[in-house]
Amino acid sequence: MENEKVARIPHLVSSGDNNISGGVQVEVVDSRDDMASVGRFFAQQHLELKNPDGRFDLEQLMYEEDSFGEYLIISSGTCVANFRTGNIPVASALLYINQALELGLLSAQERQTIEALTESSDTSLIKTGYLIANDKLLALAGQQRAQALEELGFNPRLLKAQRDQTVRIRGDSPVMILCMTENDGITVREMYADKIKSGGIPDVYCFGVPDPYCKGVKFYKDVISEIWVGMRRHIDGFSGGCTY
Amino acid sequence: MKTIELICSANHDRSPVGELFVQQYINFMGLQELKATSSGTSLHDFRTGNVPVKGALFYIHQALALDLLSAQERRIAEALDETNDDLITRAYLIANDKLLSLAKHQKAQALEELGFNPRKLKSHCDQTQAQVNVAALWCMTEKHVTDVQRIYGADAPVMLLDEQGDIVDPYCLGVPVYKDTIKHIWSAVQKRIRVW
Repeated sequence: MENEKVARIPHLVSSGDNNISGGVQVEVVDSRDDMASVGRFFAQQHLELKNPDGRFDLEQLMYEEDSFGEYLIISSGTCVANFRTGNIPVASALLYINQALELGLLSAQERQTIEALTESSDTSLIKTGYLIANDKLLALAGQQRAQALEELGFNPRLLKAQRDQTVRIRGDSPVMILCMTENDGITVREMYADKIKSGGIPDVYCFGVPDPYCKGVKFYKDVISEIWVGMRRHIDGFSGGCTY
Repeated sequence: MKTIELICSANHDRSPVGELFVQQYINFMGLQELKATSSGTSLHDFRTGNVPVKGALFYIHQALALDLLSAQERRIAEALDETNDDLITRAYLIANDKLLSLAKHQKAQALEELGFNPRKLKSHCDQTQAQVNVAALWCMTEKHVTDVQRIYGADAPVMLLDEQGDIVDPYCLGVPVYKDTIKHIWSAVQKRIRVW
């Protein structure tokens, strides 16, 4: 941690293109912007609580803009657009459809249509079935995540309300990207390959936490705990160490 | 299992928040052998109205200033002077009941705005009493340290939560004051638990 701290401070000071609207950008990434938004919430909360003069108001910042003084904490999902539009492999689509079936999330009519689907079914039918199933799964996941956060002592109403696709916007350049899985890490490393190759930013780190999507409140709590610990470690190192 | 006990005056505002933060840290760090608790050194006196007349009048005036009393209660409270102990105690109990509700509301709002769930705070208040298996007693003010030493004995592992000074009582002083106090407690807990 000490080495990371010393290594990163010069980046923050010297990299002119890290500054967007006066903020140093840190991006938290997963596949759906589900747990990434939890990571973003912890990062913002941690920075606000560490801030001794109380200049920042977490609630205001979360609803009005992402700028956090000199930090800009954002979150995104590498596959948000594909999950939304159903642009995913047939095998994956069937996996989500079966998950929704097993969890009893579908109506009798939906169940009838969807139960008959196999890998050889018409792809447009599979896609329709997936979109229905995923809509139900998303609602369940949101509920499980909120309950897990509440049970761990946090206020889930301060999570951002929307999910965002990970994109590399011209001119934007996060100094650190924190990924939930190795797969997310691979995707963002590809996205920023030119910068990484030239030895520049961003630093990409992976937490290696499993995806808790619809796996129950207990599973979410375990994953959220890991994110809480990992996020504090990275943010403390990034922002110049613990200054409590 | 050893306990870390957080201590303030009434176990209403500061120490339960400290307990929440310490317990979160214990849970997330997997420190299974530890448990956080909290208590108040003067809770029993606050509940029964066994407080100095000046203190009672202070709370009564606070309730008056915050417009928490009904017209009838207001008339009685405004007529009080330091000579009528029994009436003062009754007025104090009424005033404190209203202040407690307001304080609870302000604390909950402040916690929510800072991203915490106030429903995870303990639902009741406890009077500080000597317990076994106490690993640490972290107090909000120097006065609490003295009180706790009297309860637990001089050898008790008692110390200020923030070694740099007291954590002020935000009781009914508004949501911004609660937020500052919560931040102070959070920072002090992080520091104290790491050193400990």
